[in-house]
Amino acid sequence: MASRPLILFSLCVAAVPCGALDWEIQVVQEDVGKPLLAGNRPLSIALDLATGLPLVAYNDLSTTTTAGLRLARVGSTGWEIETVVHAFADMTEADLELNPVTGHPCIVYRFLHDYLSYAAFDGTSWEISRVGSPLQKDLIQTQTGIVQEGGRLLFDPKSGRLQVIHVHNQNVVLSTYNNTQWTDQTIFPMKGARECRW
Amino acid sequence: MVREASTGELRAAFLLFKTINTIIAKALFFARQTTNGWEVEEITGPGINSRDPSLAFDPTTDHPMILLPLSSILRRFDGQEWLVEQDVYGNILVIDPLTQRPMAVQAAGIGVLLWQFDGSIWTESTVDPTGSQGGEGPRATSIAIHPETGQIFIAYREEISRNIRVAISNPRANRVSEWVDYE
Repeated sequence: MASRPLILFSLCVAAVPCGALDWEIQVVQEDVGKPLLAGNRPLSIALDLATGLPLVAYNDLSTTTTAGLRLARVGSTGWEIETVVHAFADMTEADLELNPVTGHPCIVYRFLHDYLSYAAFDGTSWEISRVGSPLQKDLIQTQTGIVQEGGRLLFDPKSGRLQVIHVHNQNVVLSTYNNTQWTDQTIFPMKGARECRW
Repeated sequence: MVREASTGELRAAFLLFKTINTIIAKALFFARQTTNGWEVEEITGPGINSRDPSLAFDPTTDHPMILLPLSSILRRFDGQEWLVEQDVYGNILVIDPLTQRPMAVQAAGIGVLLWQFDGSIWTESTVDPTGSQGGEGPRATSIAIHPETGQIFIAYREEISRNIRVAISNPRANRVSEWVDYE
């Protein structure tokens, strides 16, 4: 990949007229392995508006020793990949956003039998915490199957607070984080439903 | 999917799977955040037999529209009822910030395609002809669009090579703010 992506970004604005779409296909990472379950292949892209460059969060299952949640971003030599958390399991969802205040990436993710987690980059390292009120227990498994859905992440445009919509304690819930604790607001009871998709 | 309306309030579209007498029944809901909590309505009729509903808003009216990937149906609220539009393909529905019209990414076994709506018809173009996906592509694809240049970024897993790829379009408009050269 070398420095090619950066040259592309520099030249395109000046050289390419508006109108037709031309595509450049870039490989972020080769052979990230095959998920155990066919449907579990989520990834998420976000755009750093300050630089105009993308970031991508995804699960790498290529080897048991190195598997985990990755974040790829464009650096001075092309795509630079870092490990957010190690876990050799299918990821059922990943949602990446940039914190509008800090500009740093944040990821909500879930591995198959794990709780929904929130990873926030502080500029040097990742802080991992669990999403939702600690007093409640996530609906992870029922007699009819496993709830495999993760959460959707966004920042409240008014307060700037992190919000996650997800399944929690058999409800569809909006959890809001005030940098200290989570508060949950029930949107809708699942009423015996075994799975929720959004 | 959850998105923010122009008012700053949240809207969510979600699908619940219920097992009734060993048959899995699906129900599609649209939730609207209000000052008094959440108002939830069930959307019935064609298209609900689909996973991963994708939500966007008409930029003019703020009315919601929900793309249902497996049934290739777009349910569009006109202010009174949920209309049904057939043969709308794609997994992820977004509003193009340049044209203010819907756009959809499709990645499911036939390469990666981009569908653009011009106000009357949807037109497809190929992003990556070799970017094949398995049967369940929706959540293995993600899109971001630069709000000023209209440059489109699509991330996806390529099924055969198992590569993580990003397709990057050319910018479609000059950036308003000062350009930063990364060289």
